[in-house]
Amino acid sequence: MRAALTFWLALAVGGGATVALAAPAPSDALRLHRGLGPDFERPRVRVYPLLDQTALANPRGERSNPAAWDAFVAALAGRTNLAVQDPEATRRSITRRAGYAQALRLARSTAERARDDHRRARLEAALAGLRTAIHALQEIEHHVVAPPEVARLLLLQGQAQLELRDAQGARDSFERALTLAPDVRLQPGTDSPAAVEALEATRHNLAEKPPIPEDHLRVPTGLRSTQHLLRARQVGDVLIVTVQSAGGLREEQQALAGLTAAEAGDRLASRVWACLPFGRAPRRSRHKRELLLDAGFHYQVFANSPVVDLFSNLGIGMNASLTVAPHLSLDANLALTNSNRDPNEDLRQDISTVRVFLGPGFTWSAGFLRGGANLGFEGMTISDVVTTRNVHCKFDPDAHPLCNAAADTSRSGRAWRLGPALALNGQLHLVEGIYLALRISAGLTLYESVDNGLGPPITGQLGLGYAFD
Amino acid sequence: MTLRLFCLIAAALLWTSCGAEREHTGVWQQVCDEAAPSPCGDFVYELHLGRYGSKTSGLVVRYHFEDVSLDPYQRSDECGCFFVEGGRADDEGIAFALHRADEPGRPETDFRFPDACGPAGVPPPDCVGRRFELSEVDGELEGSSRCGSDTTPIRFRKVAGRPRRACELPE
Repeated sequence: MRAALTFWLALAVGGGATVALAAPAPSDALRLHRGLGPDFERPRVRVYPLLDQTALANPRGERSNPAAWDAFVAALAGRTNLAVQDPEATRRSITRRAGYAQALRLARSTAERARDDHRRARLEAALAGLRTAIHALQEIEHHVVAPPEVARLLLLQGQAQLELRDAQGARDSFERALTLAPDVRLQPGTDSPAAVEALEATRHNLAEKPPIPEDHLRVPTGLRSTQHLLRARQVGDVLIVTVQSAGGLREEQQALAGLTAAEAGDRLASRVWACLPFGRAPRRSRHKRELLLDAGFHYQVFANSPVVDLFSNLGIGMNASLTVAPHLSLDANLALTNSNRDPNEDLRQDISTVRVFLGPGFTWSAGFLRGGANLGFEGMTISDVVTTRNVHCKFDPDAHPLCNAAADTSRSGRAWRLGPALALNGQLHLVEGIYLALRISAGLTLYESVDNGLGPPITGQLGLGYAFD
Repeated sequence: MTLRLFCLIAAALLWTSCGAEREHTGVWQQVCDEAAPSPCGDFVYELHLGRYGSKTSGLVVRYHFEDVSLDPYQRSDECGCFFVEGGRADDEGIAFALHRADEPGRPETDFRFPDACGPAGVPPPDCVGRRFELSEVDGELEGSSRCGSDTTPIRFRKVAGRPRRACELPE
């Protein structure tokens, strides 16, 4: 026994291994080439606008050519396994967030009051207002939508700090402003010479080693596993992309020298694509195995009968349905019935029937309704059938002189039958787990031990059931 | 709603077994009061009927009748018993004849018929070919008892009890 178990286990493991070796998983490139289904779950990649830090080193603040960046975005968007949101779409999505417009209006109002305080030399109040406004604007990512607007508030904050003799604070504010908008400047002749000098000194210091924006260094909290952020900056001839995922950060750099913009963009896109998850085909919904049990009243008529009129049979029925695969079930039905009187009372004793059905079924569901059809085999046993058409034998077979009980009464013994049957069933979901069940069926007789004159049964069952998960 | 539907279906199923085909089944006694269509003669009849669809069977017990103020349907007043033959029934009424009307049956083998029943306690034969044709009117069976060309109006009232199955009563 143990040896046999080991053999089958080894066979199963070996077989599994053989299957795994025989069918290696296709590469991502091959999967992309083959095409992805409409339900493919693509990683969402949000691309933020490029931060061009080349302007820090450029005395006139001229920007670099964004062609390589544009080529990168286009190449990445061409990877159809990714759902890429380009920078412009990212800006639009930020401005469409709930509460964005209201928060912006409030922050701008606060900033305006701070400017007024600054003009009136209420420096402390101006500084407090500017801090509030800048914080509020960064909270709603307005520095992504309009970097110069937030940078100019930071410049004003630095000016106020200078006037309050907080040189270090002023340098920090100027550095933050230049990090957001490298080409932002003060106006010589309008702004104080000390402030202009301090800003340019900060710019000069940053030109050698451009700062990494705080946004690029931390993964936002609450980032979903299927969502990825790309933040990029260009420093001289190098394009640097930071990939932010729930699992952490990753940086990819691409030197632009000696390459066309398209080549550089494509190479960087390939590397970034490689470090992003490919996405996945929709999970096949795991089949939920369910057992439905119901019981209720059972009604039955025989298609033919040895008496003049059809007669009904009433009883109880129980039904069990086990879903073994999507849309496929295995059904069993047990019914016990007893005959009612026929109109002429030709039946002289009750007919008891026990019927068992077993067969596979096709099922479907739509909202509160569930239906199915079964084709299976039915076995049944029918008790003795005693009939007479002599009215006097019905009144009293022993006493009435016009009744010859032996000649006028027909008897057949217990019968056993087997044959195919078709059943249709429907269930109406009532409350949690409980349903109303209706089932109708009809069968044929292939084998019968005794011909009692009764035709194949046609049945109906109405009951209540419970679905077990 | 579900309960109502369930009750309707259950009632429909049960209704199929309670048709009118059992109407007239039971025990009916001839009415001899002043409202009867005609005065009772020497005998009154008690019908023990079973209706089975469009056919009727049963037996008719004849009693000696003396006085309207007395209950004539006593075992001691029994004066012959006859089986029904050729019984027909529909929603309107029933009709049947007496089988072997010339040979009245008795409730017990050694039953002694009352003297008033007939000479020396021998029950007289009934009219051969006597036929009852009755319609149901207000819960009673009303019609005629025909014997040859003689037709007598007659009325029966249903009484409690199960129909007697044989002339000879079980001991």
